[in-house]
Amino acid sequence: MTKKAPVKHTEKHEHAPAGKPVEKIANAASKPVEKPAEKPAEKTIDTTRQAVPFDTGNVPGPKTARPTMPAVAGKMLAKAKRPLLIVGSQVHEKDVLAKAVAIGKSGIQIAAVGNAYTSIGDKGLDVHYANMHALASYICDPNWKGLDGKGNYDLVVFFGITYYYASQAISALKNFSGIKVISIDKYYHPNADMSFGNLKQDVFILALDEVIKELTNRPRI
Amino acid sequence: MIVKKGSFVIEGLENVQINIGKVVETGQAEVEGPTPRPEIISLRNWDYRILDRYNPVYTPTSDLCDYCTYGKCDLTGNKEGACGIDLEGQSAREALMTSVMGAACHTAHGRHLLHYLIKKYGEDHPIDVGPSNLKAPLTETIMGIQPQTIGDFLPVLDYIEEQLTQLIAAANTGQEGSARDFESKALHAGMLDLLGMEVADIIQISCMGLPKSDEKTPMAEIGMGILDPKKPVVICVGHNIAAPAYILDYMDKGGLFDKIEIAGLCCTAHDMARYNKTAKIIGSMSKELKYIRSGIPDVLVTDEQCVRADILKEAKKLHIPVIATNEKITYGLPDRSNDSVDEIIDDLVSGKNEGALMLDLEKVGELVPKLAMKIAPIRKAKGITAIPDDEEFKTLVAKCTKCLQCTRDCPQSLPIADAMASAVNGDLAPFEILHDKCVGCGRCDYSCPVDIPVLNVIEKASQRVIREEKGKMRIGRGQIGDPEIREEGRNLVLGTTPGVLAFVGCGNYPDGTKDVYDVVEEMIQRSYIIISSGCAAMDIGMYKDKEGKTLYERYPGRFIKGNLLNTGSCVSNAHIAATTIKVASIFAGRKTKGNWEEIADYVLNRVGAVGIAWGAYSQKAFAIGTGCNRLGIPVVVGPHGTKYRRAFIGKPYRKEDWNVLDGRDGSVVNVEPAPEHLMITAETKDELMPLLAKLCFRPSDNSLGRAIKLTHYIELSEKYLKKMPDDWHIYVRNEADLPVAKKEHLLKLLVEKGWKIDLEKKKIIEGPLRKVDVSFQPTNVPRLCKEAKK
Ligand code: SF4
Ligand code: SF4
Repeated sequence: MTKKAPVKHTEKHEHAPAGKPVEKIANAASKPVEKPAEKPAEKTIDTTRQAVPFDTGNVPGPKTARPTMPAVAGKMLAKAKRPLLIVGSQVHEKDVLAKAVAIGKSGIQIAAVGNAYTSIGDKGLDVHYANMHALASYICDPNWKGLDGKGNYDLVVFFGITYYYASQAISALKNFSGIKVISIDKYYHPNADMSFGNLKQDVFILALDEVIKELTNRPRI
Repeated sequence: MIVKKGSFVIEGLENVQINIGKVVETGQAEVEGPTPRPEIISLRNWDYRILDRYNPVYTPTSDLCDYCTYGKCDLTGNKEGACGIDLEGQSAREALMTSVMGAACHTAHGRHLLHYLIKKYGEDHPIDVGPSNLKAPLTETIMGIQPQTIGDFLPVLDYIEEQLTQLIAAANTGQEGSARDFESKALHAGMLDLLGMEVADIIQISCMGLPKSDEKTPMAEIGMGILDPKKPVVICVGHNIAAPAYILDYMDKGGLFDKIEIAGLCCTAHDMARYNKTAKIIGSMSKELKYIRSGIPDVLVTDEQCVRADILKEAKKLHIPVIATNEKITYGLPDRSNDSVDEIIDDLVSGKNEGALMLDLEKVGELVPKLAMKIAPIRKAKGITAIPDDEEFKTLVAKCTKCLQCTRDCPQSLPIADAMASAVNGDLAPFEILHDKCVGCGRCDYSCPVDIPVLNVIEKASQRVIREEKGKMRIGRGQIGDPEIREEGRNLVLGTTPGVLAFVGCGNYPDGTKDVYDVVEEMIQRSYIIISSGCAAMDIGMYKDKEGKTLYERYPGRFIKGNLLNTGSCVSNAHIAATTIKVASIFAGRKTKGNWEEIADYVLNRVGAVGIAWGAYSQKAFAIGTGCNRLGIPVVVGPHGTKYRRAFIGKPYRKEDWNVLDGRDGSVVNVEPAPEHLMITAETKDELMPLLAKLCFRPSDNSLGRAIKLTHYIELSEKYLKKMPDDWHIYVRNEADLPVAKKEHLLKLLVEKGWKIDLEKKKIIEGPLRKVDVSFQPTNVPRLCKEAKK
């Protein structure tokens, strides 16, 4: 495994206190207004709330993921030269799958880990089956040429993988590779560099929509 | 007369007393290989060969090290701690400690049994494991000796204990600093673990009448629904048969089997059934808390390993006395070993004491049945149980606020709140599904802010399925006998039997026990040999087909393709690993004594055996897996296995890693990645099945064997992952390697991959990595090549 140069972590982590996982629809959470606004404000969602490990004991150490908003994650994904989306055995549900497909359609390569391929393999995307554990090990190898032989990746984004399994696999990337990892799953993943907080399903889907919105400039399939 | 120890007087020479300390029998110590009793670094070169191909992959659960008072040190990003160790080194040190813990557990179990059996049967009690010349394959391969009596195992345990002490010493701060050498030491500990298990099982088989390589052992009843709760119920929990054997003997003598129900939980259950087929089996550790909470047990007897740390606390709530019978688990209980049985019974029945430590095993035999008979009527009259009644259940499920705290604490992230909501509407089905997926840990109880006893609620809702939980398991058979190896070894090495799949380990499954059954059913129908042990062996027997038959009733137990074998308890895992040594020795004539590297090299390159610990949770399971790895056997664990923090994963794209030598002349041959990994996880059973098929490939496969293995790999991938594997063609060396039924189609696919194919003659002209050579002698060890030998 390669050695990751010690990094100074100066980012401020805005951890919400532990408690109920709640979505925040910004205008809905604000105090009731006496007079209705003339134009209803556009709904935005806040995915930085509830940034506490979904599995309560999953506390890795002093460096934990920076809670992130979907637009930020989306922009990073859009800008990345060689991003990889990883989805796993929790991707089969219709709404979630549709978002993975939409991201794939923007030209982003997909690693289908676990049994994800059974749902996403036939959608005409650049999708490859991979074993998550092996994939993590390969990504840590700077000489690996990627799932398509065209080179290693510069950004890993993931959702829809068994929580603890994903968390463990990306702990390898966190500690033994230089790659950036963003969790856009409905769970807060402390081992990622950036992560959504713990989200309810409907907010999660809305958040993925916002990520997808940012990908419009990528070459479509 | 064989006299190996003691004093005797020869007639006519009455004044001369001859004292015999320890005799080294002639012919016993013909060491055949270079490493009898290997020290910590004796096999380091072999370990390096493994580690250089199967790189350790670390997935830390913590980025900190808090081993010493310099710390806590933050090692995030592979930084160094105050002592100089980096996260890679620390993770490898954890792997070492985990392996040592597991090995110590099995070895201490063996030591306890050996003390007890020597006391009862004497050191000269002969070893008898069934129809085998190779009676103790691991002992021979590691120690270079051929034990004949149980006393011959004394120096074996001395050796393991000494080595384990050396290994633990290496983990102290300021000792080993290299991750690679920590891993070599972890592999050493794993090997010692296999040896410790072999000692434990061989001595109990030899002395206690456990089945000896018997392919037709009787069936035992298994499940949470098998006991008659109206009778006094004794439940033995753990792994060590010594104490339960006395209880069974006492009950046998007193004709008490009709009056008292006696069953085991976890591996003790296996060995109880092997010892006395009247004993019943509740199931794996996952059933422990659930069964206690049911209130059905009237007495709990604990020995060692896989006993819940809160068993006394839980039992106390339900007025179930706990009899602890092993020094390793004493719970602060008063030592009553020297007290009278009646006195102890009075104290326990009256509630004066919640349990007793009883190290006099003979007394355990008398105490437990008598106690059960006395306390059961009292407990049953009170109807003591933790399971809520119907009204309480309704109130409890209605209390749920859907906060999801229980799900966040649950190791399986189970959707408990959804099940609560369904139950409010009278639908219990979601809870019944949860019951199978729930590992019975009880964490949810602690987490619920409105104090719902969640596990009890799950169990209450699942009473219907629990009542039906009745399966059958073929009792543990012990070793695989030499004659069976003679018959099957060739098929295995040539690949015409697609592989041996060993389903072992605990019940921390990612998605319920049914997965194990499903995988075994699929693979056995494909003619893999399935060997099982421990909790996995129990869970395989828990499901039935449409005709009401379990897999054990459907498939026989011989070591041939399409059979299902149960070797026995956790320590019987040794026989599974040892089977590969037997193949190397009996089929291929490889020398065993003190010859680990050559045997392991043979296994790695030629024996298509894979271990599956789908629900592994313990340090013991990790040690077993690591020991198998050193023997050249790949192991797959379920997704929870990533929390072991270390895997051994091959990199198929790094061609140079897959060079082996041809033993005939030492020439280098670049082979297909076979086996591709040594320790890896899978996320789901769908992913597991093709992976297992792939890990059965070996460089030595002949074309027929390769075609069979390839058929299963492709079919399983198509069936469960809905795709042709990306790498299937890597395993094709010529047209004869292709599955006959798919040949034409596959040849066309090879054309697409740029291979030169004569489609008319169905011949491959150019493309494969290498040719098939039936005489190829793949080895990773230069000294084993003929040129080197010269
Ligand atoms: S007892 Fe079952 S439901 Fe409760 S936390 Fe443990 S596994 Fe989850
Ligand atoms: S913790 Fe209790 S209240 Fe919260 S969801 Fe679970 S059972 Fe319901």
